Amino acid sequence: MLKIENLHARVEESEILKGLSLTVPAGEVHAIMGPNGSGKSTLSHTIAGRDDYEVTSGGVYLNDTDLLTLDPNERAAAGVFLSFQHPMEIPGVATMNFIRTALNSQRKERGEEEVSAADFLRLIREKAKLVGLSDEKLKRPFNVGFSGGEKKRMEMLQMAIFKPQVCIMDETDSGLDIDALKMVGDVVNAIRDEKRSFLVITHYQRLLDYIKPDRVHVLAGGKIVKSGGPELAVELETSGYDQFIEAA
Amino acid sequence: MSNPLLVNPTAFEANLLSALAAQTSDVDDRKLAFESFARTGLPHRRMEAWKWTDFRTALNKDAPKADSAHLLTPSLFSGIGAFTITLDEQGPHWGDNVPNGMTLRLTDDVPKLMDIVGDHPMANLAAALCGQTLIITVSEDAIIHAPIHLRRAVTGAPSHMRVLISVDRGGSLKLIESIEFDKGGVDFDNLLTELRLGENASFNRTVYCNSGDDGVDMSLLAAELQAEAQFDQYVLLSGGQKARFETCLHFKGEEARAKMMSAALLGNKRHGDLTSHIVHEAAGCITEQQHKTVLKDQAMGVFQGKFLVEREGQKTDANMQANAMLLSDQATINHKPELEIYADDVLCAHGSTSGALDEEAIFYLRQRGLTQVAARSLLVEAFVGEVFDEIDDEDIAALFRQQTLTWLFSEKSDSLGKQSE
Ligand SMILES: Nc1ncnc2c1ncn2[C@@H]1O[C@H](COP(=O)(O)OP(=O)(O)OP(=O)(O)O)[C@@H](O)[C@H]1O
Ligand SMILES: [Mg+2]
Repeated sequence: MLKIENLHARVEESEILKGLSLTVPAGEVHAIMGPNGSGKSTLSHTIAGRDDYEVTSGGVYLNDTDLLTLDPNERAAAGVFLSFQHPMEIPGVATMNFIRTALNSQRKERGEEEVSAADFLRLIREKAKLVGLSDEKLKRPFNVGFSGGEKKRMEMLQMAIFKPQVCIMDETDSGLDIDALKMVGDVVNAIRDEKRSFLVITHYQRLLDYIKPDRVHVLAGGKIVKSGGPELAVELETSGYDQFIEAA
Repeated sequence: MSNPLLVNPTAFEANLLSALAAQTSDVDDRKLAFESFARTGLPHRRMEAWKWTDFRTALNKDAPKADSAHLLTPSLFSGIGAFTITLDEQGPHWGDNVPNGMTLRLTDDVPKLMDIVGDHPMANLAAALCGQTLIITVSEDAIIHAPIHLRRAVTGAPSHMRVLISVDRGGSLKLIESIEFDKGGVDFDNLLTELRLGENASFNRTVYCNSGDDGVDMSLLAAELQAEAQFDQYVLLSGGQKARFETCLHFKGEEARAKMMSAALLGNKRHGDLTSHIVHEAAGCITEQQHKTVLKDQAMGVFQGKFLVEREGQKTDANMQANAMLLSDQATINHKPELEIYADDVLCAHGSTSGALDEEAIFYLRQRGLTQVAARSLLVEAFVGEVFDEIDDEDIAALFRQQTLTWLFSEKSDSLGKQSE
């Protein structure tokens, strides 16, 4: 379960999150929608622990763990995964080597045994097939020269490998073609179970055709201003955000 | 001591004069070379080519104590099956089993300096004071498989050495040059290497320069390349109190090629200067150069690269890239790329960048589970790794990668953000 309580966070001098509360129970998928600049990515980075976002009050908990006391890598080991809205290209870093180092670093932090090179190779080949990335792409430096859609596939590849407790997907669907959209649905549905929580940030209802959300929230002006069932996403498609921007 | 050769000599320069007086062979030529040196004396900051690397000031400080110099033994390269030539207080010396196809000899004569360094103060100083010159010859079509390791191992008084190498038509030589101090440093080590590459000859040079925190060190290579010759150079520079690594290439025959890859890893108060001067005076030659500097603490990095393309250098293809990464805000980088082109049909490019580690990339890596230290060192390794990826010899590439890690994790530095762990 992911629990966010009255979260206030600022970037440089301006407060972006202004008392945001949200609970995603274990086993549920929650969608967040909201206008550009409303603080969706700020929320996802704050949960993941980026240090230029300063939390001024409130709390973020994963089950009983107070995430705000942990370093970003400790949060990752605790099970927080962020699929970035804009994934990085990292020249000179070998993709497979990096993902394996990351996986083993998380496992080490949790006191688990490392995954052997052979087992890892099997695992990454299997998941690469699922997300539609060729062997050749895995051999390139991390994300270098990848298209926008390929970078999102790389995010999904890592999510499928790490099997995190909380999956935060920040606009994973933007820039994806129809087949890729379906792939994202497949990845989520493959690991969806009663213990895992998903926070899916999106601008479009169509992703939610593949990933059925339990709840939909509207984030505007740094707060959750409305929550509802899946029908809320459909409603927003036609009504837009005007009503919330005025309210916020 | 008053002397007509040097105006207002520093104490160090006055000692150079006594060293000249002590020379016994080919005295006239040595005097001529010294006169040429004396036009400037030790290079200093008011000379454009030396504005960031002032040897006069560095050598005028209290001389580092020779007994504090600690030469790394055995050499990092001891395990790779090289034939070793040691350059130490006894001059150049070597053991039995000189590889077939090459000859080694010493001469008391002072051969004329190669044109491209004819006016170079440090080349002239080496010619004047070197004692015996080592001559390495690789005969026509001889392929020397085992690398030759030139181990610079002077730990005492200032030293000047000179090595002439010629690789005749179709021949091939692999050279490793190292200076390896883990403490202290050498008083002053000045090495001049002159290389003649015949038609279709190839020369591969790997260099590791760690001159020690207190060391003052100059390595200068001048080379003339005939048609279709191939020059490859891979350098890892760890710097010293003042250390300059300079390469001067002169393309004299068509379609010769040079590839120069280098990395400088500089910490503490060290200084590392990588300078090159490439003259394209024949058609269709290619130069590919890349230099990466990583700086921590209060270190200073210098890159000066110049391409001079003469009218005869049509169809030259020359590219120079210099990139620096600063892990500390007290470190300094100076880049000076230069092009001077007199031919009209050439492809010449240069680029230089400098910056800190990318915080966004660090956050990405940490989000995936890497610690602060692991994320930072991965990015540094990736940055310099691009240079080492070009090295054919797997053992040497692995050795340079290992040195990068050793350097990154060496004490004192907090550049990896260890405290926040
Ligand atoms: N590093 C930063 N420095 C300054 N302002 C920032 C920074 N990061 C975010 N902001 C500001 O915070 C506000 C919220 O940005 P955020 O990226 O969270 O919006 P978003 O809801 O994800 O928008 P989008 O739908 O466009 O992705 C914006 O006004 C943005 O300009
Ligand atoms: Mg966003």
